[in-house]
Amino acid sequence: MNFSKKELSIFIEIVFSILFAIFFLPNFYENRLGTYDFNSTIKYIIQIVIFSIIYFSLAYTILEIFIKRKLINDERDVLIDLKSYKLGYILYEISLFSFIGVILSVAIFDSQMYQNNGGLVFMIIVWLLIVSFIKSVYQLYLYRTS
Amino acid sequence: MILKNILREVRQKKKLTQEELGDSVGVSRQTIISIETYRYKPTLELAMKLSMKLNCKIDKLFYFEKD
Repeated sequence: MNFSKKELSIFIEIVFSILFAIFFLPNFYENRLGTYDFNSTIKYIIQIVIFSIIYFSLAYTILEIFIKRKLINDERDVLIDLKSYKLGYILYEISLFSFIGVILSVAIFDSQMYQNNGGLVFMIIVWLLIVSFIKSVYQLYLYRTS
Repeated sequence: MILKNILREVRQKKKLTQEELGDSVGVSRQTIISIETYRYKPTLELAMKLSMKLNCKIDKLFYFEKD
């Protein structure tokens, strides 16, 4: 299977989503039943930022070494970006309304659980990860089929 | 009606590779491949550029075929 440079860069983003889920999601999953400690969040954010910088620097450097052809962003790329961002936007909208629904139902039916924000933080991160993953996979699908 | 083209035939007659043609009109090789396999319909601007580069009238380069 022959992938173009653009398709490989999208694949790098997909792999990042998967690695993020493997390495960082367990931390948020462990705190999902309790009140989230925002002081320890800074430690996670620093870890995530450092991991992201190292991962993307390495991945794109390797990509540049092996594929020397320059990346052209032409009208087909713009069209595919628009289609994939449209899907991402719709999914974010659905996520937002779902999230508001969950917050309201939790607030109404279980006010004690409302104080335990670990679950809400975990839910937000999972949704964002899923939406980002679906958007990238759809973008890759469009590149392969159009 | 399906929009088709004779881009591949004209390009091969001019002895141009997909990459060379793409570079000359400002698009990637993948875009040229997608146009030649009817998976992507170019904009008017790109179609005109292809027509000018290949020295072939646009209505000869692109045509409609009935289903």
